[in-house]
Amino acid sequence: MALKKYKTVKASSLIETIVAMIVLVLVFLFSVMIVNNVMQTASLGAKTKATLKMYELLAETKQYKTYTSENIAYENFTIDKQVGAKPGNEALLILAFELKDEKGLVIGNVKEEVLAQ
Amino acid sequence: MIRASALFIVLVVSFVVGAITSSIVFATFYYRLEVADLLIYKKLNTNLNSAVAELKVMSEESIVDSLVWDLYDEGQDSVSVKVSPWGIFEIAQVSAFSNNKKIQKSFLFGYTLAKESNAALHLGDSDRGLRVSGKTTVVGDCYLPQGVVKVANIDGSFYQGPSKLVDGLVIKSSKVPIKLNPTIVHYLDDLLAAKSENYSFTETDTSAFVHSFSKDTYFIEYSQAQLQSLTRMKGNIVLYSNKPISLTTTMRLEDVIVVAPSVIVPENYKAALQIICTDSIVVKENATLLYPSALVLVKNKSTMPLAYISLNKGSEVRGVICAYSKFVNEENVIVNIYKGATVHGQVFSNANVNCQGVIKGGIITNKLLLKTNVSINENCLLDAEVNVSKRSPHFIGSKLLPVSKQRGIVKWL
Repeated sequence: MALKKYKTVKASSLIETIVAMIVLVLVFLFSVMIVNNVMQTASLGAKTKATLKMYELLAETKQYKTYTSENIAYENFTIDKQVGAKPGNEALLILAFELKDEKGLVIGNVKEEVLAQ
Repeated sequence: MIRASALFIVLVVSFVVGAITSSIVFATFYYRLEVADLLIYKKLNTNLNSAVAELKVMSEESIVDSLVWDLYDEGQDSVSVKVSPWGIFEIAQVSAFSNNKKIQKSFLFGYTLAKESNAALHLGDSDRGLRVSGKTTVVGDCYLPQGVVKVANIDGSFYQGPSKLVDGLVIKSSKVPIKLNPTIVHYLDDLLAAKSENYSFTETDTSAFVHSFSKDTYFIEYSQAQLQSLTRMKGNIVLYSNKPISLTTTMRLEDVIVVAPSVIVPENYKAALQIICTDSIVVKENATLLYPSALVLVKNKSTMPLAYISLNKGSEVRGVICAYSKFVNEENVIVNIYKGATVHGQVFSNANVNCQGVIKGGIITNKLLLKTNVSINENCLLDAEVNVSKRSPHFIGSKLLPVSKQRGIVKWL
């Protein structure tokens, strides 16, 4: 009689439990895929930061007129800066920047023409 | 009673997890899209800067009305330039584009001065050299008749200036007078006659408006009564009047061109504009015309009396003053720079300049004609200052006068 005072819970059937487990597994699989995707996006963020650094370096080069070729190494990437006269127009210089990852692969570039004097 | 219903609970949890993850997916998608756009616009901006740099050193022959090219011949960096005259300067609209994305900038450009335009004084050849009197100062190279400069007593005033009469080289004037650029002269003639078929007048009685340089020019004809109600006008606008007009201090004009037979700039007025007239331009006391302003006087009728530009005491013009007669040996044109007036830039006249004020820049004229209360003296300066070193090193002139091949940006529009 004392047991009757507790609430009664209707148990799930075996099929219901199995379906629920399958759905849960699918949901988790899907979540893992998304997390993976987000991680890839995080690596895109690192690439974007490096690209923005390259543009920042271009702006600095123009501001201080440091028109010399150089290779600048950062923690996860390097920027190769090349300065040369524009073919057929000596009055112009081409500032060419190449962004390379840790493996040396080119992941971005930018060029800009400036007056030689 | 609580139902165990595991499937139902799992579905609810899955829905919530699904909603969260799909919002993450969308956020990531738009983030990547925005980053891609940012990088494209950054690249377009560098291409735009490159196009501006190329335009600065491009040969005159290469510049046509509209030009499209690939910067590095890689098929990825397309830019275009559209050039059109704007008063004595020119306007360039430079665009960089990639697929459906495009950025554009407009600017007024001119040219750095050629050696002969960069002189303090450039007088026409005659038998009378330069004579200086009073507290006159001349700093900069000078092209003088006979290559001569000496002191003189004018109206009882002795020379009290620096021991060096000319602080710079003195070069003998050439017998060949300085020629104005025929393209700009032709454009100014067209503006004054308003005869080109391109000039269709816009009907408006608006008292204030701004018109972008990326659109076609507005040619507006205003009566003096309409002008009185005008409060603000900025941009790609040519303001016409076939009668003499007086500007008012309540009228804020910026970058516009004013074309009329005569224009009076009132006292204490401040603006940056170009005024093109046939009869006279008077800048009254304490008026300031900011860079890049231009006062252009074109005497195009030989029967007309004296045509003149006058700058009164306390007035200041930063830019170019140009007065010329279209008739050879015509001397009824004069630029009067009275005592207390200042010009920061360039003064040109193919006839006469009466200079008693301060020129932070140079004068190119056939003759200096000093008019005092008691006398008229040729090629004389009395209590004047002509100092080319006080002109800003960033000053950019018009190709109406001799200039170098190097272009420069006068103003971003």
